[in-house]
Amino acid sequence: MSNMLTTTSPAGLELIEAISRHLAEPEWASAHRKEAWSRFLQAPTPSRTHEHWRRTDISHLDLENITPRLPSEYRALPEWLEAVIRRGARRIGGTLAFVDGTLVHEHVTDSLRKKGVIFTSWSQAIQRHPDLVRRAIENVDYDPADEKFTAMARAYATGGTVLIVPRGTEVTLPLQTFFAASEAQAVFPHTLVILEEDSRVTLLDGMFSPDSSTRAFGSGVADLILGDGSELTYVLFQQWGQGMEYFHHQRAVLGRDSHLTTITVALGASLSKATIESVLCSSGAVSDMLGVVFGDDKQHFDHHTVQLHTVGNTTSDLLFKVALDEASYSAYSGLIRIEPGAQKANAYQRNENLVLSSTAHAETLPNLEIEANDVRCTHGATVAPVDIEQMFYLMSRGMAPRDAKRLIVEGFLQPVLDRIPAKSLREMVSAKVDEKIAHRRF
Amino acid sequence: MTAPQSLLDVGTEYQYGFRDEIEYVYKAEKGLNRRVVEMISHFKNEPDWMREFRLRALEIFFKKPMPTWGNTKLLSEINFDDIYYYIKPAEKQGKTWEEVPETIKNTFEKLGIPEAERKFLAGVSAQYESEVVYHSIREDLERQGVIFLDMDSGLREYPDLVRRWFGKVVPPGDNKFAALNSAVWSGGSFIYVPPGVHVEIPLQAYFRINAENMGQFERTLIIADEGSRVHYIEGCTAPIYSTDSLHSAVVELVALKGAHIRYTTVQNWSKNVYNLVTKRAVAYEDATVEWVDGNLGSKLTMKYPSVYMVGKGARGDILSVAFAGPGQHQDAGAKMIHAAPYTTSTVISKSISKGGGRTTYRGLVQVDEGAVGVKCNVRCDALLLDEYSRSDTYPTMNVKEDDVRIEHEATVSKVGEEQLFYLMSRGLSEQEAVTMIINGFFEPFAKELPLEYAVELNRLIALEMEGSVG
Repeated sequence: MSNMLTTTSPAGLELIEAISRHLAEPEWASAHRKEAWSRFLQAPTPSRTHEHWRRTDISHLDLENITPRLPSEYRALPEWLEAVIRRGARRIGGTLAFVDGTLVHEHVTDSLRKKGVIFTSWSQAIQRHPDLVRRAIENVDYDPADEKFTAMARAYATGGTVLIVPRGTEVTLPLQTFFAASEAQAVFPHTLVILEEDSRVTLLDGMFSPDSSTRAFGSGVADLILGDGSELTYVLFQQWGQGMEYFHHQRAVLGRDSHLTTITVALGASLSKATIESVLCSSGAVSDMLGVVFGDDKQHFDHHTVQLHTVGNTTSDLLFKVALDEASYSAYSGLIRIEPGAQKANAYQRNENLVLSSTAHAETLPNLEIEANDVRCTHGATVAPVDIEQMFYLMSRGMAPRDAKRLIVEGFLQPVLDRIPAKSLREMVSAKVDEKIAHRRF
Repeated sequence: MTAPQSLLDVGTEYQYGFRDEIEYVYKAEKGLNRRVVEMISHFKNEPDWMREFRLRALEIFFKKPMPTWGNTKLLSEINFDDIYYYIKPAEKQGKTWEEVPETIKNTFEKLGIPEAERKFLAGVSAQYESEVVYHSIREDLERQGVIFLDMDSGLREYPDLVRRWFGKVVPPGDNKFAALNSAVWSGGSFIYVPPGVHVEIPLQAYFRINAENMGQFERTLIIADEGSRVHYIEGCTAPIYSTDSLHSAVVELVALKGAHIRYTTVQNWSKNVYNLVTKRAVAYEDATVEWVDGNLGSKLTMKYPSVYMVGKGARGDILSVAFAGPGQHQDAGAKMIHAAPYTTSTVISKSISKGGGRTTYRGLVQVDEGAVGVKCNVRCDALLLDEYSRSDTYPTMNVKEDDVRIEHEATVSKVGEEQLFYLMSRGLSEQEAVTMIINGFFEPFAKELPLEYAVELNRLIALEMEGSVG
């Protein structure tokens, strides 16, 4: 492993070693952690002069001094989180819940176990399925633009989910993980999904913390690996409390004829920045990316999507819907990139912004980089207020202006939420979105 | 599919690549320093404020880093020490065609300048290297108070008017190349149209680089007073050298209340010219500014004409057409800044890449706080003629107001097989069919050009397709 470690602060290194010891990690896992940590120290803290970071100012963060809590032996499920789980989706194949990186709740149905599906915490997966996990993380790609945060997340990861679905297995009931943070904590959620050939599953990662203005920090990574012919629906449901500043990097690698649907729902946190990337590197791969953002107060959202077609005969579609109220801000930037030789790639990208107040601020940057000619690539972006004619129609039916506006916002976001395939998850997420809309005074 | 050979030949011919053997009146040393800048100012006998403006700009140029975005590889190949920043081709400017030195005259004859004037134009200016060598304007316009001069004469004859606006629309600190131009500018056009005067026929300027390693830094300022109208056209060419030349212009347009400016560029530099240009307009209340921008030549073009709509009801239109052949990168676009209510803008960008060429659309639409009732529509279409070429689209929309309507759409595709099939089933050869499709693709641009230029554009496309037929 790297000897760059010698030049670094011993406190950080000790903490990394303590986490490794605590989780009784094998040598390779702890080496992976240390490499991530040395990368974290080496990578410069991104500044606004970097294109990828131009719209999000993090100069107030002292990243080197943000550290996670050591995982504890046992921590009780906090009441508020229990309520979230209880009020959450029914008909679920399995649930994991972490608080500040410690596993507090684990439920997996017997039928899932019998099928050989692995759905467990990161530390248990390393013990029980070392070869599979090792192979997956050895191929981890550190995106240079996000390296400071992804390396940090990999170095400090305590809680995390590993989901491995064996060849040909279809998991009918959706799975869910809750990552929760207590007040003033730093959390590093980590998700690894490996779908073997022709398998199929739906997973939701939910992110919650108490709605306190106390500052909290999170940096998460999700690695999604889709084997040939597999189908994954991945829902990232971000409802952190208002004090949270959260950074997320999601990267999916799509095998031949695989089909990925990712649905990003961002409601919470004072600042959240996410990169959502699909790498279509085998013929026949299909990636559908969907997003819903609803901001109010002074929330700051910065979403970056990447549809990377490295080979031909691949298809990607994207729809990102953003509604902004009060003084909230959203930057959406998306890249469709078709590499040389990726003929017959088909890519679409659409970003719609609904601006509900004159102090809200929307930025959209849909980018295309095309290096093959036999392709069809199209993108569109719009920024507009609530349609006066729709308002007029609803009000002429006797609806109060604020109710009409609520209905229009719901109607704007709903088409994306409707694409969540599992009914139980769809209802849960829709209810949370409606809840936030209903709280708005407009 | 691989493109037919005919397509790979498009854009390989350059008809303006000849060069003249010429004795220059003055040629500054290569490289850039205070001495060169002071010398230019001295030669031109400029007022103190302009000399100080130049020197301040030079400091900014030295301080500013090169852009970290765009084609940084090509940009890094510019050797600022290997460029002539000032070359004076003739002792004095010609008022009649006969006064222009023979060699230079021949060049412009070959380029068709006086013919164009005779047929069509209200005024002509021709710049050779650093200085304007020929200049004329129709008498009736002069009588109406229309000023059409080269920038140096403008500064001499109308110092107050120039000082009021010069460097105000594009300040030297705007970007590294604007700073460079501000330090070493020479030539360009100065136009003032009095209130209510409509200049119905276009004013034209022609720019020619002849020397090797030449840097041309013309500076254009157009002021359209209240309720006036003017159309300005510029064309540019250069010989083909094995080393690169640099063209870095600054163009400032001021459209006062209710004025209308149209600025048309047919950029056809040879493929060893870096074309790094800052073009910006300010549109006051109910004023309209149109940029019609065609980029066919150059090695690397980076140019994003912009309209700052600062008065209620102002309007900006940008029509940008780019063609990139082998070794070329056309990085062009548009910026629309809506700083006042009820301002509207449209951007149409069309590009074709072939033979490994690269086209980039880079744009910005910004709506400032308080700019209610804004409407903006951006549309980008790119055609890729073969699998080696590249097309990028980088739009930015930054909206700080709610009562606005912003739309952006872009597509990238190849020449439609169905269109080809249809045309060929009517008896056209593949070659003719492709030419027709390209002409159709560029039609919105050609339509906006004066007939003279539209004919030229069609001829150019036809010429580029020549040799691939039969």
